[in-house]
Amino acid sequence: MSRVNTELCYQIVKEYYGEIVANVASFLIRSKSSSLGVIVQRTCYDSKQVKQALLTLIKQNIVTFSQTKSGSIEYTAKPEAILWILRFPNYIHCAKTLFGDAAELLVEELLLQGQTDLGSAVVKTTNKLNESLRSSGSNLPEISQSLIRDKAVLLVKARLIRRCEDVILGKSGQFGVAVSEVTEPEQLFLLPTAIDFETSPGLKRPASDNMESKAKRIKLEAGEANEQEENKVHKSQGPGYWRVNVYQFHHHFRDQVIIAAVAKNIDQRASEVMRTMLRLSETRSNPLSLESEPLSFTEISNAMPKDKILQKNMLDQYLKCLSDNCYNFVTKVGESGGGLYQINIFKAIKAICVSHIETIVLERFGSKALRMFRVLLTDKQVEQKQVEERAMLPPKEAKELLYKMFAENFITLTELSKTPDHAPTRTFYFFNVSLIQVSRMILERCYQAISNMMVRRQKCLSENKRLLDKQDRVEAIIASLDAEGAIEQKEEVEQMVTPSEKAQLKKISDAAKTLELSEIQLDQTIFILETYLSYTLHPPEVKK
Amino acid sequence: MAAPIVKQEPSEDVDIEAKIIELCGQNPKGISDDVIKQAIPQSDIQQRVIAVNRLLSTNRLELLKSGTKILYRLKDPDSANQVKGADTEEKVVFQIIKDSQNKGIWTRDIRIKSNLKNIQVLNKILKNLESKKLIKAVKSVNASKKKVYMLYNLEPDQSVTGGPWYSASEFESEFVEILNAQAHKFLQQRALDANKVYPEEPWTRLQASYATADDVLKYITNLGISKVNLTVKDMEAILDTLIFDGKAELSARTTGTASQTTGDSSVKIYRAVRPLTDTSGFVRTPCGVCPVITRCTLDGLISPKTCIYLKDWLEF
Repeated sequence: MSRVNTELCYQIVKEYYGEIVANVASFLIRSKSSSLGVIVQRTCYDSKQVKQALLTLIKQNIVTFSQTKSGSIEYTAKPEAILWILRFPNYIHCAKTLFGDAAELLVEELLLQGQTDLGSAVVKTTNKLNESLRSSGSNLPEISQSLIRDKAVLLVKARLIRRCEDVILGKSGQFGVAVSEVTEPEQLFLLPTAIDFETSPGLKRPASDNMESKAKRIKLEAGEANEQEENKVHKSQGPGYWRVNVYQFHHHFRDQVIIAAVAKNIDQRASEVMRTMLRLSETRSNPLSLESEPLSFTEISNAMPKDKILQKNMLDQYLKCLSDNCYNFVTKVGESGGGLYQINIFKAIKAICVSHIETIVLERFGSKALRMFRVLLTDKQVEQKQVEERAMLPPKEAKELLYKMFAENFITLTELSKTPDHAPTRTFYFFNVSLIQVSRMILERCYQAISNMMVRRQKCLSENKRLLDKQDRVEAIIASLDAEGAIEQKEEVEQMVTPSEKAQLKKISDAAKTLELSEIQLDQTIFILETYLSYTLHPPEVKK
Repeated sequence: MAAPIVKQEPSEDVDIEAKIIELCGQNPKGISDDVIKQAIPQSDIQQRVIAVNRLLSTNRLELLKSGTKILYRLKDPDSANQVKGADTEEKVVFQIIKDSQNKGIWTRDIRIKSNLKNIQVLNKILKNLESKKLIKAVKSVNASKKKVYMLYNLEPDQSVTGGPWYSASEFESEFVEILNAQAHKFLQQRALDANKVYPEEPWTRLQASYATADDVLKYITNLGISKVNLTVKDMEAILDTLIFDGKAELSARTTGTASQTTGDSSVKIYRAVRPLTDTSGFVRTPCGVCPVITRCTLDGLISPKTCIYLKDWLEF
């Protein structure tokens, strides 16, 4: 974990859950894992505050816990889960585009709660939807809970939400000591049963909501063991807890990025072909593998959406374009079934990532530097003179830009000495680009940039706190006057905000919007870089 | 008796001279006395010496030493005329420069080859020759301070001038940029036309959007931008820069018949492409292009709280 990354995690947690939680989280990130006692000692909060902070973090899936050999409970933070908070708007938007408004609200609720039972999520969603129906004044009938339940089942089928892992109980069977390892990933996606939608606490088991938080609390107080609860019963009989499966969302984002790239490289219809292929392979291939399973021509042709159906020879031409061109996103692997095609997910992601890095080089150093950067990417090991010649740039300018990129770690230098003394005159100096290093460096910078944006936004808001508060008050008054129907007074109140103040308020809201937008855009860059790095650095993992 | 001999001699001498020149013409590397002797067996040594001497004095032959043997070689009549009136040192220097052909030769190498120890003398000779417009100094692209000398009427070699991209040993980056832009324009137009002609056939469209370096070259030549004659190879270099700019893509197409010059049966084809992604979100923020981001900390001198770049950005 780098300093920048820890700082960003701190900023995010602070923004959403407050300073105490943020301090506990950043302590856990720095220390990898520690017990309650150590956290209390180091963070200088009293144990009650720390416990509450941990409770929040566990509920938000940021912290997990496990039992060490000596029997004490250790808490471990997952910093990546904190960074996912930045992606919440994307998750929600994605759910909306895929499954509509109800799914959007369901996912929103699950993200908000971190872990929750489906029953209460469904109830809340239904209420919210009906409320908005009422306020919009439409005459549509109320939405029933069963409709939302179906949506929830749909989300589980799409693997966008999943069950939480069970909590392993200690020897006494009274309190959880660790989160169980998932041995069978399919179990997490078992479709919800009637029990899962149970909300009324009185029926199956008393106080299920309350109970869960208590159960968590017990885990925190493992050493004290002064509460008597039957966790086992809770887990096996009560409604299970559910959370959003971010990995599936990430696969979806990855596919979207690939589709967008195809649309840019060829055209809209080619991107539809790609979309169909990705959709077909989604259910069949391991989402983390480098290539998809082979898909036959007939299959693709049949699976094309009805309104975008293509002529056979046209589809054939598109597939030819995709496989012979377009950075080899697709490979033809066989002739059976009218031609077997495979998607090279890794190649596609790499090409997209490189393209992203290139845009960064372009903006930072200009188009001439980009030309040299691409010379290095194509020719791998190049001497300074060769770079100038290949890029056809005047030596003086080329030298300046090349060394600027070198100084900022975008390119690296390899020394190859003819003699053991490494005398400069008898040494070859090769410039090269290490994609992994550059990606990591840019990733770090992105983390820092997001953190900067957040700090700036908070500063912007706190500096103008008085003005913003005033605006809130005025708006509240206006709202209440509106309800009473006092129009004359309303105008008077409205004039309490002077034009200059109004201008200032507009400026603040514009600035805050710009900053928030850049946070989301930065996260997209982070997503692509992280995806590329995860493909290059880890061999495909077990499906989650 | 004397009269006919006197009459005969000059004609014989002329014969011998003509024969020697003919022999030298056959052996440009030079001939030894033995060769002459065999070729003109009737001549005695005296006649040969007279003939050779006369040829040497009229600057038609030159003497060379190869081991212990002496070789005669034909002297270029032009050069013989050009350095007329010059002294031997000048002639030697001129000869050395002439041998270097259009590659040119550096002063230091002239000094070594000519054995002229005195730099001032050599410089004077060079100056003299230059003022007579017999030789010229050309700046080499490889080392800007290095001057090379070559005969006045020669066109410098590409290795000296750096090809069409250099003028007066300066790299013409503007020329390259213009060609680069025009080539890009041409490829883009190709792609647009292909889009219009084949909207329903993506593969045919793709193929139609490709152009060979030859096509681009023809377009550029017709535009008349270039005063220099560009070769296909030069054009390929320009198109390579387009590829490195990320504006073009390279592919190959089989021509069916192997071309006679290169023996290749495939030809390089180029196509305009757009970048795969939009500008990254990172560089849309000031932090992405910030020159001091490495020194940016929360409570340091450079901090997001006080950053002027952010301030300017947010206020537009």
